Amino acid sequence: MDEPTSSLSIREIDYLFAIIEELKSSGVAIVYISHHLEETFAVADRITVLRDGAYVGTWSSHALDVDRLIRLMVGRDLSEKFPKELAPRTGEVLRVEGLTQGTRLRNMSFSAYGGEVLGIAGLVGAGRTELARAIFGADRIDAGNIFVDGKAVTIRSPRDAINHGIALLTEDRKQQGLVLKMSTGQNITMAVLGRLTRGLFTNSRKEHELAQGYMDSMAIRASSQDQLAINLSGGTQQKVVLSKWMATQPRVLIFDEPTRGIDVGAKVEIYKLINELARNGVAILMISSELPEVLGMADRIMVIHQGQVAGFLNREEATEERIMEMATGSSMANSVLAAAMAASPISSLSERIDSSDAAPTAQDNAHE
Amino acid sequence: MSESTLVAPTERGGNVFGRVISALGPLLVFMALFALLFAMAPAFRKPTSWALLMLEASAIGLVAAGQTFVILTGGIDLSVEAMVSFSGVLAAILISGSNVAGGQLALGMPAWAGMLIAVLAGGMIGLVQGLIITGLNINPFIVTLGFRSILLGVALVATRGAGINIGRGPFVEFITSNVNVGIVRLPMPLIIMVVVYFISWIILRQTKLGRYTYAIGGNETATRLSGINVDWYKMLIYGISSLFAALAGVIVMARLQSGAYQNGTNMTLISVAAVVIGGTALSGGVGGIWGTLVGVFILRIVEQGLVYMNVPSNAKEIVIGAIIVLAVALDVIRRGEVRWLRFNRRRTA
Repeated sequence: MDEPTSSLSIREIDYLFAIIEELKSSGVAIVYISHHLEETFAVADRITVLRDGAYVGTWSSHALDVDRLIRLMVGRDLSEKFPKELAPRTGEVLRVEGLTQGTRLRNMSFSAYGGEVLGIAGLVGAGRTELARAIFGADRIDAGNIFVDGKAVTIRSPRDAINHGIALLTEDRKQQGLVLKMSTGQNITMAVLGRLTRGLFTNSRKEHELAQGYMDSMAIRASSQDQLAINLSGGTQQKVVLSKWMATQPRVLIFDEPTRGIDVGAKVEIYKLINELARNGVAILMISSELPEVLGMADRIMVIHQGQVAGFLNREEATEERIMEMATGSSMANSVLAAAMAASPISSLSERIDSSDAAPTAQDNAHE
Repeated sequence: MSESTLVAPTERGGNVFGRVISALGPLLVFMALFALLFAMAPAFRKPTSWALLMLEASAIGLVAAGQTFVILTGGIDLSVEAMVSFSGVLAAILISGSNVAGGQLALGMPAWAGMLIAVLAGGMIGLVQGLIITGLNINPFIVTLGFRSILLGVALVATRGAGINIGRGPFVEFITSNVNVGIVRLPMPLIIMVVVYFISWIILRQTKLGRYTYAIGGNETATRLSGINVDWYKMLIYGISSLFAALAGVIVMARLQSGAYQNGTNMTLISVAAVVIGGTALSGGVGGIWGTLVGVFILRIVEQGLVYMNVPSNAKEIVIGAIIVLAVALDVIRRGEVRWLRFNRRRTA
């Protein structure tokens, strides 16, 4: 089974695990591939670790814990899963006032500051991605004003957004982030090719230098700039997309699920790049379904519920429970969730709140 | 020119041998066909038949160059053959008048002016097609098919089904002449075509328009989200396709000294076939202009070979059709898009 739970809800995962148990007891050998480490411990008797295409070893799952497994996977000690650095907060960079789009986004207002990572949490369908796309000009808005560095800006297209220093790293890098059949270098320079054009023609030398600069500084593991993006690993692809946006020198960088589907080592590299951007005074909006990631990396968390801002939490006061309480919009739903979490064989699966069906009322409403 | 611009870089990558083969494959096929015909048909051994081959390739070559741009973006232009006829008819009318009113009304426009206007008008019509495709988000298949009908209809009405003849002025003389390049005599239409291929190559390689052509074909959504005005560039692409087809139209008209609605017959299918044989993916994003040129010559030599082999001209269509289907089939197999024929499945992370 290759990442069998990637699109399943908690209830379905439980069901899957029950089937796996059944198959096991009837003598079927199961190879279970996953990047969700907790799942691996819940399901596996023995765990084999591969790294960079090489066999590292096989251990009984009782002989391992998550930290040890991560060390084996990345081949070095990870001091922390989330290497958060607190950057000094500068002035307000982005202000959104009364942003409205049909019933998906309703009168949303908030600010983001330079040097700050603003985490955005909420259930699936709460409007997180819609918010990002609306700010970036990818979808039309019905009402609302956007200010960058205090100045009102009109954004009707992604081009407008980029010109005003806003960038969006989309949640689906293969469908929306990369042109997979093009080279790594061409993907990096995609959004700034106009800047590399003199008169009619693109300047190949400058383009090559710019791409090579990001290849080096971001440690992009590709054989050369000419390697096609399709042949890169998930983490490397994400760094290519991030390079593309860094080349536009953004003031606001919106990350939509920045570490989805990439391995532990690459996640930490992405987090470190987020730190670096914050240090350079960029305002960062980080949408994530993984609550530990939001708690680990955000300075401040904005929780969204049914297209509205449900509230803000500071880094010190934020917990999974408080976020879920706001995200579901009722304490009743919260207790249902808690019960569901208790019933789940793997409590840490609650970090994937987007696939949680534990708060049916809130979710159904949000899908209207 | 590197191999990656000559023909598609294969998605498999890495395997240098495979890449060279896929880049040179069409060229090897052409050389094999040439050798075969040289051995089997004595009539083909004269340089005059080669000159004929080159002359025959030039009009369809121009059309296929424009078609390459469109197919690289993942679209298709079915209006090109009608554009060839239309621009020829328009130029002929501007030069020597319409026969609709019964008898030729000589407008007396100089040949060069009439042809220039016809080519520019063709380009404009292409832009309009592009505007409809992008602005109203209609499938290019439908829009260009509709324009094919419109343009053919206009050509038919304006000529009443008969060709409009033009006189043999110095300009017509010039663009149908032969030019001595070193020791060989090359037909002027061929030289025009080669120049257009070089311009196309530079556009695809060294301009924003070219880069975005590949990007749109590779992933239109990601291109749009990178801040690129996809609609604008797609409109330009359909303009280029029509412009090149209109240029082919006036050249054909000058050669025949007649603008007739049949001038472009079959050119759409052959141009698409040439593009695909040349290694450009019908799904867009991968390919190049030089492959198309080789594709044009392959199709032309097959057609000429059939004549030398005394295959009745009515049966020619069967062979050409079969080649087209075969070329597309080989294309999808080569790209590993046929599940049951995929031997080494490769995972990407």
